Amino acid sequence: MFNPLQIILLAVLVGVWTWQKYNLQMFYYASVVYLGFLTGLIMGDITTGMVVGGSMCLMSLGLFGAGGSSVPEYQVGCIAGTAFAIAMGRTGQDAVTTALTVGVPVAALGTQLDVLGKTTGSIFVHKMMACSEKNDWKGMGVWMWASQIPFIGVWVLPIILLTTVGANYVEIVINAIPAWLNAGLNVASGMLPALGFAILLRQMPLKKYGYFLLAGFVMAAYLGMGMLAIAMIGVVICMFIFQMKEESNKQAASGAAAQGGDFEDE
Amino acid sequence: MSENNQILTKKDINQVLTRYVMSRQTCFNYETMQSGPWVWSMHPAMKKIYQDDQILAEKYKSYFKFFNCHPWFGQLIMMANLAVESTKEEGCTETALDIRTSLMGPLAGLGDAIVWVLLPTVLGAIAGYQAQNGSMFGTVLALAVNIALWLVFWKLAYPVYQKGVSFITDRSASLRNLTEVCSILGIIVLGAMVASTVNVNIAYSWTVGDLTQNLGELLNTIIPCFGSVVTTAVLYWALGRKKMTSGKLIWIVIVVAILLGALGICA
Repeated sequence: MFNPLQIILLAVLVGVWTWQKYNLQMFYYASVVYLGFLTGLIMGDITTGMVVGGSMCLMSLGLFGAGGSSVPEYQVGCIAGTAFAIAMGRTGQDAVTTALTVGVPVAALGTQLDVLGKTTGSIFVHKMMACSEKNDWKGMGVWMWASQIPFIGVWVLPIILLTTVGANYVEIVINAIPAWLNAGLNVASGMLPALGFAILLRQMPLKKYGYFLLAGFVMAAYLGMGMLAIAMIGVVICMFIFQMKEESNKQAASGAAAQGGDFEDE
Repeated sequence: MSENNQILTKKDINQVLTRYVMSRQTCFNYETMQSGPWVWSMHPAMKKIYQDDQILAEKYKSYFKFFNCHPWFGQLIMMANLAVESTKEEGCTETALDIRTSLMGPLAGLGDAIVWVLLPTVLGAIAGYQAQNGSMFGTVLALAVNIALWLVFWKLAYPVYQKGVSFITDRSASLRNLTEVCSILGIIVLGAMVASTVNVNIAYSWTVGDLTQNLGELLNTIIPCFGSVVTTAVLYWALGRKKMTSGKLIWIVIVVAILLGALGICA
């Protein structure tokens, strides 16, 4: 199903992505889309890569690992899903369904893989500490980079297994999926974005500002406005609130002639 | 804190920044989180300031302790720390660590709100819809914003080192306000996303005589996007329960969705 070059390139893509997601972070926004695109490039069908990437990107919105927590990993899910959809010769809506069948479980498993990877980090940071005590600065760097072997490995290894020994099994399973299960997976793809939003809402100051949910909801549901338009109106509202807050700050500061500069968490 | 820190040149700072952006969350672990690469990244600058391995090893014991912040703000905190260390005063490491500990929470909040929530959610939605229709414009736009903001954080490192932590604390009131309004903007956008991106259609219908009633349509006349609103509310509630994690919940959602789809309740 996959030729050796494709397997290597997919493994490299997953590896580089995992490193850049945690460290460089220069190419993070819309990552699910461009990873679908790049997978399409590797597999020889850019259009399908884009469509799958777009669909899975919408499911991934709102997911980020706040404070070191682990969340579903749609990026690697998208790479795996797109690869199988194209390898099996699917196009259009068919490709999306196949990609979701492979990609969503991979994304969900990603939560566990992420925890596994982070658990290994403890060993390496203690090695770094030991090197530091001995003034072995070079060794400190070597152990730090060595941590990437298991950390990236937990992602690359499953992809290699999936595209080599697992490929035929995946194909058999996908072809055996009955219509009712496909219907269920389509329901899941519409429902899963809600998970990302619910996670985000948990981190937002809803007690204080929850009523602003209504503003966004009304603009989208009743007025049918697009995302960019809603975001722009949101920016206007927020700039106004920001100005109000800044002015009241200035008045408070000049009134009391007090010193500011105290940056405490609320 | 001195006004101009002259010990480290722009070249030294670039070296620290390069190390930091390449490695900032390697060795991530549940004990000290991001502290390992922090020490490795600051080492060239610390070596130049102190030039004594024994002193460095002693100081690094403190720097190896727990650190976790938004990675992009991490580099600014490091610059504020290096500014303090450049004074080489007695107890400067304690001061630096106090700064590090007191800034990491609030700056993580600001960074999460803007860099990880607001921009990727809005830009990701635009990029996602456009890609479904075969256009990569939204993706290019999203990446351009990502790279531009990334470069701003790199450039900010120089004034933070020059002026020390006061560069951040002088703006503390504004930063706090910025965090607040970004949260508000995030909430507005999320309210819109629940309607536009979540897609839960209730397909259940029944027939009385000649009349077929669709439950979903009926409920949508009460609240538009009824299924999406209820789904999000239920998941929000579920996440607040003890022992519930997003890792467990995604499997629950998949199973429940397949059941609802198979039974024909949702489509």
